[in-house]
Amino acid sequence: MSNMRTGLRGAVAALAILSSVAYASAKDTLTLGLPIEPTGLDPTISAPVAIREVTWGNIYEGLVTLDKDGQIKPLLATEWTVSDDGLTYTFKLRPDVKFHNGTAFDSSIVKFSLDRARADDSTNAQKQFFEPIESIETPDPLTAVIKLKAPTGLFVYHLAWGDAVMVDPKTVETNKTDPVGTGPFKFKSWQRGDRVEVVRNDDYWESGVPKLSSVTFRFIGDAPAQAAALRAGDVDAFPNFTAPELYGEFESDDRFNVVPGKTPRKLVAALNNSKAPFDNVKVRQAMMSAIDRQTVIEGAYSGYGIAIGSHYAPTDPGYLDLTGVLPYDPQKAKDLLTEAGYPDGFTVSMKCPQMTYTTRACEVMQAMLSEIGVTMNIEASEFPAKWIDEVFIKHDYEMSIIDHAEPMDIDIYSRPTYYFLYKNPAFNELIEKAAVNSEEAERSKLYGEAQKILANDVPALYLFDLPRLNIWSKKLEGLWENEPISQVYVRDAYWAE
Amino acid sequence: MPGILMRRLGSVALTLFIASLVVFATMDLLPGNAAAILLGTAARPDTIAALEQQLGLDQPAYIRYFTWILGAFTGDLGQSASYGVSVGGLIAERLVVTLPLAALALIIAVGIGVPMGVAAAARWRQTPDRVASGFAQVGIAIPDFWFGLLLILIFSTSLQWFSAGGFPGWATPLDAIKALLLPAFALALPQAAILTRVTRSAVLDVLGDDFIRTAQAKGLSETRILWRHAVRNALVPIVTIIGLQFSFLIAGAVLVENVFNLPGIGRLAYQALSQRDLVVIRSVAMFFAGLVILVNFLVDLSYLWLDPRLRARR
Repeated sequence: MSNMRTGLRGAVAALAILSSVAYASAKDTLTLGLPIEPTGLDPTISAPVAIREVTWGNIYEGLVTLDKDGQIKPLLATEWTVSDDGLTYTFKLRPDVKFHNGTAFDSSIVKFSLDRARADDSTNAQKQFFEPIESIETPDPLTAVIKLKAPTGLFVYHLAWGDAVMVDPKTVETNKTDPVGTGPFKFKSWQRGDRVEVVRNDDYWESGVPKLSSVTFRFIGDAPAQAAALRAGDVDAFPNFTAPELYGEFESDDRFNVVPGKTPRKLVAALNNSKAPFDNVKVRQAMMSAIDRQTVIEGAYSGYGIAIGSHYAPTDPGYLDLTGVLPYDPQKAKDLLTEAGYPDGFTVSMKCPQMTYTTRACEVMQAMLSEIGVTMNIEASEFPAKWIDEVFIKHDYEMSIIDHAEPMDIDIYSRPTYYFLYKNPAFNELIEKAAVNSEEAERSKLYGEAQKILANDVPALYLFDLPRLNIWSKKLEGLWENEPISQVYVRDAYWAE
Repeated sequence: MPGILMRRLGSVALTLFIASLVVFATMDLLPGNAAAILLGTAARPDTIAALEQQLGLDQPAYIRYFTWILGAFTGDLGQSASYGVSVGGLIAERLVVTLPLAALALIIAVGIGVPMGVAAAARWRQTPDRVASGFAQVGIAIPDFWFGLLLILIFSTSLQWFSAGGFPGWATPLDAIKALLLPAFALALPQAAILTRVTRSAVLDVLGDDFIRTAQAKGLSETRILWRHAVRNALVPIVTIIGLQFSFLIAGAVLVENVFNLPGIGRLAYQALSQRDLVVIRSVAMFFAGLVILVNFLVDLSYLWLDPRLRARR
């Protein structure tokens, strides 16, 4: 008996040593924490960022993609040409691409995916991206010809969004719970409330990719729980850590890489431009001049974040730093208010979502606005449900605050019913011109002009670009620090020896 | 007896029916709808309308109410708007975390609270009583989620004996129980404190009764008097509290579930509410209502077993 026990003990010890050796030499799995669990796993039927973080570029792929600098790169299309009139886009498709279920990717898939996104009953959150399409022709399996109704400058850029991924007609009904794409990882399981697991797609079209054999996305909403999970080694990486006040503690921990990155998420305090007093540009300028953006960044995000002067993120192509147009100047703010006929200020209600950073930003702004005689009453507005209903859809608000996560979305100010209710024909004309221009340099110039108009006119108060608070193990390579568009790309991640 | 039972069941059915109306109406009155939330801040009204139609949100309230109720009778509670899976399955997935967690927490709370309360009563105004009262005071004052954070700090971050949260699933039962242990302790502490107080005062009450003096006069041992006579007779209020605690541990654990990142039913309710996934939140709310009714019913039954006088009266 005692002999047997010794033998067993020896075997167990040997196994333990063997397995720890194997573990040390070739760790090829990744556990990555995300703050929000996705609602379904199909980015073509709903908007939440969390869906894209898990699926996009990892499970699903589009014709093109954005690289880490926000530049358009070929993906399932290898190249494309645009006709001189800007109306015909001819895409050459990558050969030998298969969906995870074996379906071959060809031009019929392109036609199906894009037609579905622009159909009458489409529930694509960015349906307007696909509406310029007149028709899609498929002369051969590896060529797709897309004809547009009018030239559309950002057409290919929008095809790089998660809303434009390629889907197999056979799985569109089930993609929400059992996603099938062409990406480097295949869906394995979803333990709702806790984790999604994906495993390597061994038939991926690019050999040697991906390097990891599996990735587990774990959903941890509570900020102290995120910190605890990192410290306890439960997760290897947390690219979107949500507690800026705890971020500094990780900077001094030599197990982690702690580098704040840039995002397209612009924190903007909306003003209702259709109602007094914010229908008066002088009042809006006074509001902007009363606010010290750096103090808002300190108060709301512990000093991480980049001040912005317009509705344009530092990650977007053609970004101009316009924070100098209406800098912090309380005296000027008071003068502007007097000129506008409000020498004693006024009282305004602020519908403030319950997130920590929006609440803090509201409190800081409240203090700064009181300096110029403006009394801002903060009213909690539950996000997303109540906020979307009251502020976004019914426009029942005076002031509000939210981060706009979409990149290159300056055109929302030209939409007549968008909740800012801003009306400026000159601005709309610029946006229209930019929209039909396929020359990137010219387009950037036009968007530059548009940025300047907003920086002067301030239909909303431009506060700062939310940072991406990256924390991951020092040995982990290949994750992106910046996100030009909301996405967590694990395709190129690997463990350094 | 059958008459009593029928009346009883009738009142249960009526309570559930009224609860279903209240739940449906209040959820329907909440601002916001799932389609607009799912499509975000870039969507246009026509797209939102298309999704509303797809989700059946455009139908009149009475049709949605009856679809829900009739579905409930056939076991089909509908599909979650955000997850896209059946609501019954979603609730079942969460119960395999929540029920064992609540049971574990209750075992710990009873294991600590009842002996401590009895000891405090038996040694009234002596050291055990002071210790128990101190524990009860602190335990009631400390919020469970905060105690949970403390446990994580000690046992996960520093000692690294436990993972800091999450639930690995029942495929690996030992890991699953390990994952529930810290949150169960966090949940149990305030409940144990409450039980200590209730037990102490209930047993003290009985200890002052005449029949205890009779027992002492008969020369029974102190232990026998305490457990066979005093505690036995103090069980009714204790069991009442335990019943309330079990309902609370299932429906009210959301903060602790958040701290430990457990996919329990409390977090499902919270998530569904913030996403206005009304199909889910309605059924979860009704589940809670049904649970409270069931637990109260079981507690009532236990009185019959605990107190023979009640049996005789029927």
